[in-house]
Amino acid sequence: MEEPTDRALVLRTRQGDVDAFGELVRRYQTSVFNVCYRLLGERREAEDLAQEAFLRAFRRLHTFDADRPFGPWMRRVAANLCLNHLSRASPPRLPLQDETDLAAGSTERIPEAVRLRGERAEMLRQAILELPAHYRAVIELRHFHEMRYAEISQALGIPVSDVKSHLYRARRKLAERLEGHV
Amino acid sequence: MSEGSTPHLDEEALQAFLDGEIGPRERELVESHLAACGDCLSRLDDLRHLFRAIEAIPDLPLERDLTPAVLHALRRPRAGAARLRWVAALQLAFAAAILITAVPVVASALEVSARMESWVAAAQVVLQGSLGGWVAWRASVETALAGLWQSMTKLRPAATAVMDFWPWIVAFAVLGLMANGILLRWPRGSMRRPDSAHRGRWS
Repeated sequence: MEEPTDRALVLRTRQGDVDAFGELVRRYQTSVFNVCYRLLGERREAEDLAQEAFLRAFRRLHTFDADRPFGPWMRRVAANLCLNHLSRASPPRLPLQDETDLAAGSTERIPEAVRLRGERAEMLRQAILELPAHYRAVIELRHFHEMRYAEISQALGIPVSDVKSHLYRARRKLAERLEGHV
Repeated sequence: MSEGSTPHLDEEALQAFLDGEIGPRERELVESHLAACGDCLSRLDDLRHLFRAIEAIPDLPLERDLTPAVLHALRRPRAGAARLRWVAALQLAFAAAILITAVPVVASALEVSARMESWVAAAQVVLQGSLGGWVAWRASVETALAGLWQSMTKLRPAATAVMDFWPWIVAFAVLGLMANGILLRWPRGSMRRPDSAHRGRWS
């Protein structure tokens, strides 16, 4: 039996079929979780926020254009939720580290690291997670959501010049960490 | 543009170039420089590799299926809505009880039927007066106002009657407020409040 398309599932959800939305959750939960994980750097928190992102998407499904792909929209909802969460988080919990902190390169926040294959990819993931939150945010929005500088600027409420400089510095940090591995 | 004769492109410009965030004129300059400068071209390649590596980071597997929890949270408000309807019905019953108790008392105190007759008579006078010309109309308005004033003076016994029932009124009001409080505080699912954007921490 042929799998229903995302569009069909969205339309069925709008008509009150909650199970159809469940199928969308099954399809996109991994990618949505990864958006949250890259931004938050903590598995449990990422799972909670991913779950909440789906609830938010359900409530806002009427704003979604069913003729567009569901995945990018869903991931964007999750990213916005995490960015709001990060901007509200108290500094001790999710510190906006100074650049000097990056040199320390703590790996304590990534307990999953040992389970992953691909040394370079894992090193890069780890390096991203160790970036300050505002650098992680621009990397996420630019590289994983393919947003333009102006869109990132709008999403984060910062000038385009800041977006540019954050990206520049974040990428430099990543390149430094990966020197000899990329 | 030959290598050594022009300063190398700065990395921010190379990144913007790769991001497609520079204008056509600037792009032309960068491209012509890259065509002549091996160093900048090599740096651009390094950056391109970095970009690809970032975007190729594989997804981590999820350790638990989020679907049941999401579906549970989506279905929970339905049960809440059913309970909400019962509470709303209860509140409506209280309101009806207040009306049933209060209306006859207030109506009799205000002598509604008698006053209604006087108001209808006044309205007839106004209508006739307006058809009969300005003077008659003015006189009829005065008559109507006088009738209205007279009926207003009858409000005092009504107030007295209301005061006799004040414990009941207060009791119903308190119950009504309690029911309303339950309505307002009823669980609205597990969802947190929609986030408001707290900007300013990304600069």
